[in-house]
Amino acid sequence: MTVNTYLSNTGWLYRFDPRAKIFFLVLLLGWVFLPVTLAGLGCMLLLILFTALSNPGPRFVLSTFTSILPMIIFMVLFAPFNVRSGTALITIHSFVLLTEEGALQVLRLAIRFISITYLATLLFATTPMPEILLALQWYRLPYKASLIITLAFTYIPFIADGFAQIEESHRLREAGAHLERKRIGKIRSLIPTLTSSLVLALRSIPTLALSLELRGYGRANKRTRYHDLSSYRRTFTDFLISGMIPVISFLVFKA
Amino acid sequence: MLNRSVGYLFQNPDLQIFLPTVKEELSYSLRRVKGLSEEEIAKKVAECADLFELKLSHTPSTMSYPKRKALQAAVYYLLDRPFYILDELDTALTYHSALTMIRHLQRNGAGILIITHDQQFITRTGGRIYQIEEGRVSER
Repeated sequence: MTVNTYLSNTGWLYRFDPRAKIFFLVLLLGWVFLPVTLAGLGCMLLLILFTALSNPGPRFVLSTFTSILPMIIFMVLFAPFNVRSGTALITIHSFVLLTEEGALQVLRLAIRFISITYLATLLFATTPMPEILLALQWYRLPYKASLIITLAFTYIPFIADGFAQIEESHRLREAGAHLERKRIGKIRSLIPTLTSSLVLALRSIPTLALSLELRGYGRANKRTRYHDLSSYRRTFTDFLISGMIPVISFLVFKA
Repeated sequence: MLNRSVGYLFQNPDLQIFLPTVKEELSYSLRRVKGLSEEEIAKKVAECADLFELKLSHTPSTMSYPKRKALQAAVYYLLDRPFYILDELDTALTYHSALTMIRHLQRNGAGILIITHDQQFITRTGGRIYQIEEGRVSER
């Protein structure tokens, strides 16, 4: 069972205060939508990729990229059609297939999308869930709300993982040259997978409820906690770095 | 091609269970095989249920874990694969139940690969034993 999205390692981002990390994440998520040059966006993406490579590692970079690749392909294939005006790059007779402006817009969108994905996944890959919970509470987010956020990020990968396994197990159960093959077979084969996924999800309700209960959800008296964030000794420095990088990079790359 | 000749019993039997009764669950794959009549399917299903000690009218999702595991093995028994991989079959089962299931799957001459952490259990199954220790595979 997937219990969290944390990937154990020893990079500098792992030693970064989770509170500052959330602050950094929010600033950078806003930064990618600011009016900055394309080169600036590219540099920011390279910085994010370098951070990902030197912290969770190349496998994380590759698996994250693989998971968003279909969406990037979709974006690259269809987004240029939204921009019809400007300098034509590819034409078929009189029909303009791709304009320079369209290509640049796709590039900008793709960089933003990749950056946002890596930023969000880096937070969860380099910070244990209990520390994210503590950091969110430090920002005065109610305990219940923080708990729901952390559980959602724990539960979604679990369901996704379960769905992939169910798909595999049904494929193994049905595979065979002697089996009847119909065109609608692929759609029909989804029914067993979806039913088993539902059964699996329903079966995990007691575990989830127990997990919530153990974490103090619904209790009138607040639970005590052993773990805190006092082991992070460079909170001020981390916050300073988190604020400085987006501000300086904006001043350098603003359009 | 590999998944046409190998049956893989996942650790969690719930991944494969989705129909309301044992009878429907067992006959699901057989109904998709060309040339099998309803009588033949019913006969095969009844024999298989007897062999694995399953009640055809029971609801799989409310059965006990060992029974669900037996149902999972029974589904593969009916598929008649030449080779099976059993991933931690002994988890939450008695040695007797697990060994009985292995014997049933071997009845038609199928090869079996068992993955387990239980060294005592594996010595009771017979056959070759390979162990992975500190990243190295060796024959015991």
